[in-house]
Amino acid sequence: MASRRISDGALMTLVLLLSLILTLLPVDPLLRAIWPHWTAMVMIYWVLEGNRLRFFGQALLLGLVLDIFTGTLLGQQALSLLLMSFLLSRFRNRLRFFPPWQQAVAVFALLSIDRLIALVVFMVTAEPWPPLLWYLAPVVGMVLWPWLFLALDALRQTRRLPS
Amino acid sequence: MSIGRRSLSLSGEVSQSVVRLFAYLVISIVLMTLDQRGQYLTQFHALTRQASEPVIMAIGAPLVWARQLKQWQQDRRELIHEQDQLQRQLAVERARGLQVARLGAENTELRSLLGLSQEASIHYTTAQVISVDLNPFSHRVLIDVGSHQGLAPALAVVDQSGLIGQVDTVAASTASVILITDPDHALPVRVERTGEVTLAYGGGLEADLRLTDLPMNADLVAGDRLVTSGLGGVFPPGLPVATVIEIERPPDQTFARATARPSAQLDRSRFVVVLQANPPPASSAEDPLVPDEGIESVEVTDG
Repeated sequence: MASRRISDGALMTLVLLLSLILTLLPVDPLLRAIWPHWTAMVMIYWVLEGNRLRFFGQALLLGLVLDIFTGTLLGQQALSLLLMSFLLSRFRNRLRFFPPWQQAVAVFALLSIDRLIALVVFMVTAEPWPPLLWYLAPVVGMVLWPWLFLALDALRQTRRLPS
Repeated sequence: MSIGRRSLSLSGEVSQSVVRLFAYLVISIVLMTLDQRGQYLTQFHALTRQASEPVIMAIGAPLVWARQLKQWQQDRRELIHEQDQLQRQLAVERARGLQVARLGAENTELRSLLGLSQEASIHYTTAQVISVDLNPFSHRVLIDVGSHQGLAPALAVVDQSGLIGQVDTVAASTASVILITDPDHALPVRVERTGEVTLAYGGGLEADLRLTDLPMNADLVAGDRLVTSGLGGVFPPGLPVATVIEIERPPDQTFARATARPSAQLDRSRFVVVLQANPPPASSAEDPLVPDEGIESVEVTDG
């Protein structure tokens, strides 16, 4: 562990990979509907706390990777992550000083962008409407956010200690 | 410090990043349009699918294994349960068989007392259905016992709930069974309720039995059970055959007709029993009062 920054970057990559695995986990269809957007949540965390992933290009690439792996329309998740990234860059300073519980509401708004874009895509591609549970995913993300926040904070703390 | 840098270079850096944002937005929207509109990206998709599939499979593999393991466990539990049930059933059947043997012995004794000719005891051979004739008009199945096991043509074949048919042709270790629903098959039956005797013809495609020789005033209602009459000498009397489901008495016809549904599961039975009315010569010479004679004569050829 030469320096803190590198280890933090490596940790971020690891957690991003983990979020991709969580996203691709073949879960029950019912659970799949309310499966939160793990990658977006990890991205939000690292933009807010780690001051990383704040370049729009990173959001674009991340979204494209997600599109390729989850089989959505190429560019769909890239677009939603881009918009999230943009909003995060605008409101980062304000969001940072919210306690996790209030941040959760903002995270809900950010995650709703993903559903909104997906809805527009469904409309344009004339796909069937998703079930009602599907709209609950951002709420699940909101509920999970404080815990994810604390867990990732703890993870980074342990990484930071040995030097 | 990054906050300070950002606020300082507000006009330069932020506007540049906004330009970049717009460029990326345009890129993603163009990509979506291309993906939606045409076949421009099919090759790309094929490539990415090839790359992403192993990853997705690898992520899913532990779950798939876990599910398989669970399934195996469940199968095992079910098998154990089923075996247990079958053991119990076997015990019950054995006990019942003992009683039947005793009754049979008693029956022969009474018959001999009455001076009647001794009724032949029945020898059972279990068999497995190994193939079904695919021709919908011919209802025949092949079973895995044959002349080696002492089978001969015209023996009755039953399953657990009723008569299936009779042995038609016999090879060394297989035999063809003509089902009672075969259009070429006629079966002497008796209506259990009234004792009326008639013939049941195979219904062919409908897999039902047809009774076409009934007089117009025949006392027959839906739900009447048909059993073998024993007339004709091929089938032992009293085997359940079918249940009448429909009777019609067309005014312009000479005979009433009825349709009956076979009691046996003709197309679903995997194990059948062949009844051999002529017993092995040794068994009739033995003392008929030996109680477990009935069980001895049940010959299990295939599990």
